[in-house]
Amino acid sequence: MARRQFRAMGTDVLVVAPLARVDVAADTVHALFVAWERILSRFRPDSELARLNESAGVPFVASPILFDAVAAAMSAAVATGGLFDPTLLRDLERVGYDRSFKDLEKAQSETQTTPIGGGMWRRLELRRESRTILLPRGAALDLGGIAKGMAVDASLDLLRTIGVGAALVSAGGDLAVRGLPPGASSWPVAVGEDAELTVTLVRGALATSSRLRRAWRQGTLERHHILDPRTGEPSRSGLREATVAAATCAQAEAASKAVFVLGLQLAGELVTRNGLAARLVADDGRVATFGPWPQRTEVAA
Amino acid sequence: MSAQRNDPAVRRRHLQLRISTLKRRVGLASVVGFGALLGLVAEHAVGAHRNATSPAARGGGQTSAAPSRFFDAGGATYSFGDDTAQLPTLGGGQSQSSPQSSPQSSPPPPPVAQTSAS
Repeated sequence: MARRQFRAMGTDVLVVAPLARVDVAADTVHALFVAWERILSRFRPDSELARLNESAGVPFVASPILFDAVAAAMSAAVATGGLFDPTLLRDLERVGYDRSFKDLEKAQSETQTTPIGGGMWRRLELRRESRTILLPRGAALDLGGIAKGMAVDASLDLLRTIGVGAALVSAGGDLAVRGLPPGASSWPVAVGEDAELTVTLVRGALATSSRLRRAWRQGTLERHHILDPRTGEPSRSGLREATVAAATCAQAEAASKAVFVLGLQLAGELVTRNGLAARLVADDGRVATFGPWPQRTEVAA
Repeated sequence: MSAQRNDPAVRRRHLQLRISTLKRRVGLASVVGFGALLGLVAEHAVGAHRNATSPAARGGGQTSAAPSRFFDAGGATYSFGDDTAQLPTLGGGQSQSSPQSSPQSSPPPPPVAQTSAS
């Protein structure tokens, strides 16, 4: 197997595929990510998502990719009772995440503004027949994480159609696999910020939400990008990171955010009810696993 | 009149009339009940279809974390390999699960990717 890496959708995209096909696989995935970024990026003023956000209160006829991404985000919001919330963009900007993370000032001045909080997705309307989205007035969408997850899933579907049956695609660490590497029974994947353990994935997807990587300061306040929809502020659930295994990367990504917001004590119910597996790391280093997460991986240091 | 009432033939005819009336009423009740049941089933089916095709349209006011089709991947699933192995470098951490006391397994192959990359 061989690896190719490129930058798209504000993150590092990794493609692992058989050596003979890795270049064509990487080119295919790159083209897909570039096309999706043009549609779904909140940082590009010319993206279709940016135009949708400017059209709040007015019916907007969307492309199939944007419509499906918004529909998936809405479905994820319903499934998590709103703990995954795609309508937190204004709060995300308010706490300082208003441009691509690489361009973000990591020590910002403090601003005195009131959180809006989540829940606007409940008033968003979708009409599938006409692919029309009616965003409530004052709402704005951020599809960042789930859009990357969907792009990973779509990439693997696309690779299969061009005859690449075994591949791993990762967007900033949200990853999924199809098929198996030649002569191997699984894909070894390091988990978490510190790569403190390795699991072997046979099929499906893994995603980690962490407060460590996309973090900055706003005055005296420590900020990170995972907002709690109940407060509109960066989550203080006591977790450092949450990794979720699911059938698809979009599912794993949305669930990891919801689980992160719930915290160590409450996450288990959401994980097991939806047939997922998860590994949570608390700020104090405690680790908990839920669902069929491989038990042998958890060993006290 | 009284003699007529005591006439067994008349009483039998009355009884048959009552039974016939009862049968008609039971039949009618069955039809009505079946219709109501059919209506309920149809309404449930329509509701389920509406929920499946337009989660956003019914999103208003939904607050509970009810199971949703979002996590239903149409039969697709995830699975881990048997050869998952540990790299116990978590400083001061401990597991809330039940770790095996001596999980001696062969070293895992080097990871091909890492979750939570940049």
